[in-house]
This record gives sequence, structure tokens and C-alpha cells, in this order.
Amino acid sequence: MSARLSHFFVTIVRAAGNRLVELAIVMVSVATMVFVLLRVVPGDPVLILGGLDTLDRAVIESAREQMGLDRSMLEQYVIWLGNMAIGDFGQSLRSGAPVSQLIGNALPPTLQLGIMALVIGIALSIPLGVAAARRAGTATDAGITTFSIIGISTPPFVIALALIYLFAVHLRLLPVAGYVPFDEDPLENLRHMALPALTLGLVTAGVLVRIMRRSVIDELGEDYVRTARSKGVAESRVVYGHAVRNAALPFVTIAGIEAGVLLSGAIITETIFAIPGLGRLMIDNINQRDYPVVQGAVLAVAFIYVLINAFVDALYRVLDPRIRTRLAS
Amino acid sequence: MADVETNPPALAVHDLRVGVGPSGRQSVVVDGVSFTVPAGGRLALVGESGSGKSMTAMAIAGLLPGRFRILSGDIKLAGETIDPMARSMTRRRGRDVSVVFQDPMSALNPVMTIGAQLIEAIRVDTAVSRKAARKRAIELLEEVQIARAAERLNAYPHEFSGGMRQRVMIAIALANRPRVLIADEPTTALDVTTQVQILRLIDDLCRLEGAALLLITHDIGLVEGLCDDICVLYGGRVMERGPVASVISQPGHPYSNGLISAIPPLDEDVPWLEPIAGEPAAAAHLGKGPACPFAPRCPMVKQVCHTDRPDLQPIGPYVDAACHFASAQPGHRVNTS
Repeated sequence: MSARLSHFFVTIVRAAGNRLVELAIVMVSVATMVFVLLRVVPGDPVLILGGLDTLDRAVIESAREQMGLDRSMLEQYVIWLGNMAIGDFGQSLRSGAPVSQLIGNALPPTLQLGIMALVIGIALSIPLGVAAARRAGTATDAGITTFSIIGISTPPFVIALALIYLFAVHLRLLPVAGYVPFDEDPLENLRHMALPALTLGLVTAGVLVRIMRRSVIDELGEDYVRTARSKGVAESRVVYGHAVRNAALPFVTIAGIEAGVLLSGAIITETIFAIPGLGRLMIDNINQRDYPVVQGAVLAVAFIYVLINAFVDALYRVLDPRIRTRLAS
Repeated sequence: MADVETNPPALAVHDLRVGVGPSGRQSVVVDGVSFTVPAGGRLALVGESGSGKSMTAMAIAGLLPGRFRILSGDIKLAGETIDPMARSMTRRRGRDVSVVFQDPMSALNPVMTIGAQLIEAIRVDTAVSRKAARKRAIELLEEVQIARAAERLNAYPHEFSGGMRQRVMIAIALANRPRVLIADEPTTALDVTTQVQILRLIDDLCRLEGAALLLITHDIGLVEGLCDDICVLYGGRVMERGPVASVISQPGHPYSNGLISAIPPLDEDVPWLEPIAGEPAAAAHLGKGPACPFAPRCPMVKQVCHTDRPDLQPIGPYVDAACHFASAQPGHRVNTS
């Protein structure tokens, strides 16, 4: 197992290397698109900040100049890219706080929410998906599939409100909303994160249950499963040791995509539960047309996407020896 | 069949019927098949695709695909009646009855090492320590003539050729010294030179381990020299059974005769091999009406074949055939006209 584990880390490092070029391309493309889109959208940050009628023209112009908004779009773009290359993401137009600091503050709650939701989603979907696959066509299967469809088709905000009503309002077990940093009070942090994580976890589980069910059904029909049975291996080991291990390949791919989807799902969930994360940061500053902050936040999300992809790739190599051999040769 | 043994036969199948589909509306794919394999004996189940030979084998091992089920019949392993569909069958598999499958490319788990799959089979039996199981796995790989066995344990199936994978499959099947080895078309997916090696290996190892062999094949040419007895199936029914030598030299049933006429002889040039006319009967049409299942394709068909289903009856020493005109068969191998 340790050989496998060290191999895992080697492949992660190698995959990360391969991904660096890809990362650069993705980041520049995303940066360009965000930059252009923000400036095409109507609405002037200076007017929004100052109130529409109160300021006279001279004040507006000087504010523009100060923020660099009087330059041409191309000039702004080049300056911004140049600054980013040396690690300077700019300052908020409103507060003047460095964008890197705002993102640094918003990242922990979002990452915590995403990881918790993913863990809940995976922890629910493996046993449920396997159970449904083993009893395909029975009432158990129908029940689990129904749960899955509800999870997929219900908007996250409806799930969130239902959970708030049940656990916060009715049972009074958990707080309605809010956020406490983990290093301040771990227990309160978890109590506040429980409902948002469960909301996104249920949505994720809905998708992953379907994938796990379908994959295990497919794998159970494979010849190697029959071979395992012919050896006299107990059925639970046939299912978990053989079929689920092969079903892990498609499952990991979809789980990686879902991890990315969670980031966008986090926008709504963070807003409902008043969590000061990346999603909230983006929404607030889009409304304020605070260009540097939105640009920085979007780039942070894109960066996380690329990292997740690289991780899934590395995991795939660990899980499937055929891919390992193909890449090694 | 072969001589009467004092100890019970390794495998005795009596009047086995297998159906597919929802209960009440099944089609019968194996219809009253009976045969016996003495301890250490070798029997070939021969027939075309759809003859029910593989389903017979899978029924015995309790490995029928989802919608298939055993309708009736009695299966005895070493004199003891078993229920292959029962949960308790799990502990008999690999020990009382083991299987080598047709396609070695898909029969092994692609994400587990050869060693892990072999050791899993070994450790199914009693409390074998990890270390002892590893040692036995190396022995088994050596027995199936895989070189550098110890390091090959860490290889994955895709790193092996088809022939080597089939050797691994044989090692897995023999890991717990089964009483009966079912080889379901073990060489069909392999190239010709490998075929011979694999058959020889199965032959040698069954002898060495004292396992009885049930060989499933569509190639009646493989049977000579490997098996003692043959059982020819068509449409889920036994057409003819008896010692290989008698059946091949003097086929009693027109279907056996047709199969034998389709073997290319090694020592002469034949311009034309005689095929059996028509297509194998579809399972859905079987078991209905009292006709002989082979009647639509039979070169000797008479009126009675469409109205009366012939029962298996003795036509010679140890030979039974299900044909109204069984004794009338000429004993030729090839139609050279």
C-alpha cells in the first residue's frame, strides 16, 4: 500500500507539472473574459459608489482618474495583467483593501463548505448507490432513485429553506444562519456549517447516487465479477472488493465535476446562510461593480477548478493501472 | 458410459431444466439434460451456439446470468445433492466445483494484480495466512508454467497476453483443488498454437490434482484424446452421449454426424467440408410441441420426426442417442464427393 501511496504523490506532482501550462492558459483566458464582460455590463462603479445624482462632474472625473478608469480598456487590461504577473491583484475600489486579502478571508469558509458538502455527498452516495444497484428493480431501488431525483431536481435554496425550517426553526437544533471561524470556536463553526453543507451535500448525493448505481449495475454484469463468484468469494466482497472498485473510475470523474459545481452552488447557499465566502464576495461586488474584487474572485474559482481537475487525473492513475502503463510507456 | 465406479461420480446431473424470463412464461434453454462424470473422469459437452451447453455448465456452478433459473433437475457433487442457486453454494465454489471461462481478456479484474486475484482465491479456503497464500500463489503460477512467477504476482491482467491470462485463470480455478473443473470454451478466444498448450495444461493439471473435467466446446475436434466421454447437445436436449471413441468413429445421431463431418481432417486435402444445413434453433422455439428439435435441419428427417420427440435410448455399448433412426447412421467422417 505504501508503494501505491508514494506512487500517488509522485503522480500528483507530475500531473501538477503537466498542468502548469494548462493552468496558465486557463487563467489568462478566464481573466480576459471576466475583464471584458464586467466592462461591457452597464453600470459605473463611481456612480454606484457615490450615489447617482449627488456628485458633480469634477468629483466624478477625479475619482475615475484615481481608480485608473479614465484609461482605455486595453490599457487597463495590460496594466492589470502586468500587476497580476507580479502577484498584485489590485485593491477594492470601495474599501481600498487589497483583493488578495479579501479573497484570503473568503476562501476558508468556501473551501470548508465545499469539502464538507463533498464528503457528505460521497458518504451518502456510495452505500445508497450500491444498495440500489444490488437490488435493482425492487422497491428499495425505487426509493433510492426517487431520493436521487429529488436531490437533483430541487433547487438548492428550496432544500436550504426546508432544512432551516426543520432543524433551526422547528427542532431548534442548529442556528438559522451566520458564520463562526473554525479557529475561534470549532464547535460553533461546525454547528453553523452543518445546514449549508447538508444542503449542498444532498444536491451532490443526488447526482452521485445515480452514477454509482448505474456503474455498479454495469460492473456486476462483467465477466470478472462472475470469476470472483466462481472462486467462492462472499457476495459482499464480490460487490465491494471487485465491482465497486471498478465503478470508482466513472464515479471519481463525476465527483470531480460535482466538486466544481459545488463552487457555483456555494454562491446561493452562502447568500442564504450569510456565510462570508467566495460566492458572497462575488455577488456583493458584482452589484457594486467593484471590478478588481470580482476579477480576483473569479480567478480564484478558476484556479480551484484546475486544481480539482489535476487531482482527479492523479486519482484516476492510482485507480486504473491501465492508464498508468499507457502513460509510463 | 464408462465403467461403474465404486465411489460416487464426481458430478451427476439428472434431468436438468433451465429457463429464462419471468416465471410462468419462460423459454426453456436446457431441457432434461442428464449425464455423469466419474471421479477424475473427463466429459465433453458439445454443441453449437444456443445448444444449452454453457447454460448447463453455469447452472451446475450456480453462476447463471440474472434472468436464467433452474426449473428442475437433480445435481449431485460426489454423491451429494446440491442446490446451485442457494446461498450455501458460495462455499462450494472453487472447492467442489471451479470454472475456467471462455474469454480470459475480460474474466480477470482489470484493477487488481494477478497476485491479489490468485491470493483471494487461495484465502477463500480455511485460514491460510497471507504469507502462505503468497507462497502457494507462486507455486500455482509455476504449475501453469508462467516464468518469473514471484515478480509476475505484481503484474496487472492487461500486461499479460491472452494465453497467459488463461493460465492465470486456470491457476485460480485449481487453487483449492476442486473435485470438478468446468472449462467453458477455454480456448475459443485464443489463437491456435496457444489453444493446444492450454488444453494440454488443463489435461495435465486435472490429472495431477485428480479433478474431474467438464469441457464445454463447440469444437468436436478438440475432444478426441482429451475426454473419455462426450455428450452432444442440441436445442437444450441431449442428442447423443457415450465414449468419445465410439461416438466419433460411429456417430449414432445425424447431428453428431454433421458435427464430425465439419471437422477438417489433418492428413488430407478436402475441397469442401459438409456444413449442417440451416440455423441453430432459437431457444424460444424449444420445448414446445412433440417434435425432434433437430428435425428442421436433419438430412434424414421423416414424418415421424415432426410428430414424435425421440427419447434417449441405448444404441450400442454405453452409447445412447435420441433419434428414431439412430442405428441407421453410416460411420463416415468426411463427405468427399
